[in-house]
Amino acid sequence: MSDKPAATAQARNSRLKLIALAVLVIAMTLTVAGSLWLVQKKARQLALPTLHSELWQAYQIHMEMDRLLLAAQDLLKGKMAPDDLVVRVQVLRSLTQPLEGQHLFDFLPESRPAAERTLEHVISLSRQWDEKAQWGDAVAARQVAAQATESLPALQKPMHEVMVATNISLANELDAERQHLYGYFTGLGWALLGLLIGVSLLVLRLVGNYREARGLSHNLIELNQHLEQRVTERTTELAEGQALLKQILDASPSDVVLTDSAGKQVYFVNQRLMQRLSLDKASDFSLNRLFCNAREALHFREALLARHRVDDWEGLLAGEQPYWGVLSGRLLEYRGGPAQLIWSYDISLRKGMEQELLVLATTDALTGLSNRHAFMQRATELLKTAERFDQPCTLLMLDIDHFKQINDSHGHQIGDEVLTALGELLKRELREVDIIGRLGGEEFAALLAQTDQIDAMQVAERLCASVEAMQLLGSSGAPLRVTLSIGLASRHPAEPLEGALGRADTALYKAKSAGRNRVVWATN
Amino acid sequence: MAKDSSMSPHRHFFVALFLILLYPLHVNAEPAPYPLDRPALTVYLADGQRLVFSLTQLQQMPLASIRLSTPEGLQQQWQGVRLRKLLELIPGAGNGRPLHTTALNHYSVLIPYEDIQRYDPLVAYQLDGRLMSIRDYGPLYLIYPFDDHPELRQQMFYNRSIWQLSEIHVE
Repeated sequence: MSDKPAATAQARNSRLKLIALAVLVIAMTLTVAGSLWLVQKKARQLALPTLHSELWQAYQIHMEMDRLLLAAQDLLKGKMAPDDLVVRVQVLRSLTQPLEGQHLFDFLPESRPAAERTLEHVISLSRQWDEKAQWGDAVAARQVAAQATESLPALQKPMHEVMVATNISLANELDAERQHLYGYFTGLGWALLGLLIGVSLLVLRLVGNYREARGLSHNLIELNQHLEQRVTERTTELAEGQALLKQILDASPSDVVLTDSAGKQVYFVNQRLMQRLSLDKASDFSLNRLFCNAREALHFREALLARHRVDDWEGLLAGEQPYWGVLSGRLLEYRGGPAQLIWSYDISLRKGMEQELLVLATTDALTGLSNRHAFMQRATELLKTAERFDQPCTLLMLDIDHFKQINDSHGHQIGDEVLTALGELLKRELREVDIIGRLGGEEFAALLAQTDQIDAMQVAERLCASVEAMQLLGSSGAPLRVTLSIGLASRHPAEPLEGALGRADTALYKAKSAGRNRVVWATN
Repeated sequence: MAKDSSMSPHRHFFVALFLILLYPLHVNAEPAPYPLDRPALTVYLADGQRLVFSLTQLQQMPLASIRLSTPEGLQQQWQGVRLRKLLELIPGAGNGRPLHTTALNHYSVLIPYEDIQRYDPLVAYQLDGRLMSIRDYGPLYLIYPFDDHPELRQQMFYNRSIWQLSEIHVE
């Protein structure tokens, strides 16, 4: 707000300058035009010669009057021919004729009426005589001569006065003309001076303008250079930024791809992915090529479009060999339109480890059988199924007899061997559908699916026999005898696993008490 | 018919001519403006010889004419005999020396020989077919071809265009 009055003042200032300039130019133009007009007017006047011959005319009349008088006197004396007088009369007439109207005395400061009258008289006399005197008319000539001799002598002195007056008038006229010209010249001089000043002002302005323009031009050039520099810097930055980005993306352990929302136009695919999918050029990429299963690709796309982001999507991806990958997706804007950014990361290793972990979590390391937790889970599942389809199911609790003794006598290594052997035996003897597990120490359990009491008994007894028949060596190298005690319990409808386990366990206790190496049914 | 206060011979000359045009109106009833057999031009030679020409004699010489237009825009046709031609008929004239010319009103002017060669002035005795009286600045008028040579429009040549020509003195 504070520089508004300053701005208007500046604007007014520059406007004033402009007005002043315009006024100056107009004034100069008018001066030049006016001067030119005056000059050409005067030049036209001076183009043709003008001679002020008034004095000469007056003189001539004076002289001719004298000659006419002499001729008249000669004629009267008979010394001259009449026609010769006619010549003189006509000559006089030719001299007085132009003076009719009398402009000889226009420039006299004070009038001389006597001179005017004299001139008038002379003119009228010459006119009369000219009319009278004719060629070959002697009589008329004599008459004219008589008149002339009478009137001319008296006019000689007055005619001289006419000449004096004419001279003065002429001199004044000439001086008036001189003054007129002087006025012209001084006026022109002033005009030229004015023009000189005007031109100087204009030149100063021009110089000022030129300087300003040059300064501005300089500034402009500098600015330009600056700008160009900045642009170059920015471009370099951008290029570097882009190059860095590309480097990062290419160096990324993930596969990165950026496409338009339709998936048709591929903006960027990083090196890793291109190599993995063996793409010749980026535009060869498509989501279907990334996933092993086209259906999975479609699901992924739909999820991304619906939720605008996808994280931790595990899928089977295509490559030389199908591999597990985890994918993330984002919807973003690129080049003014919607685009999809998809990362995928190879998690085969992780997946492998997951599997390992699962195995580790669910299996007993020594025997490879399910551990307690896993057994419980699987057995519960089996029971549920048996419950649903109302199928018989028998639970076996198995225990190695005198295992502690074996461990103490033959060492833990032999003990482990026994456990391992039993595990293998169980796996061998029992079916795939049966669930086997090591519940702890020397305790094992097996849930036989779709097995009634009779069959279960047979299986249990066979197991006992097989275990007894195992040929194992003790620490000393002597054969080692291992026996098994088994407790059996059939599934009761709507009975939880713990219930069956408890019953089987009780049965096992009974078997142990009864002398080991035997099979005992649960009583209820 | 405005007359200038500054009566230059030039202006004088043309104004006079203008007047001349009006006068013929009442000249019809009058006799010849200048007697045809009266001496009109006297040529004095260097050796003292005198040759006299009348209008009749001049009219017998080869006729030539010059056209002029006045500042008022009027056309004039001057007829007469070329001065050069006249001099050819005079022994001793045309020798390259200037001619002293004198008028009836005792005006005189020197005509350089180069003028005669270059401009071929005319000793005119007729204007637009009419002879001229002394009153009308005749009978003889030395006419330069002003219209054909713009350099002639100077005082010097106006001075040489002598009217009421009566004598020529050859050196």
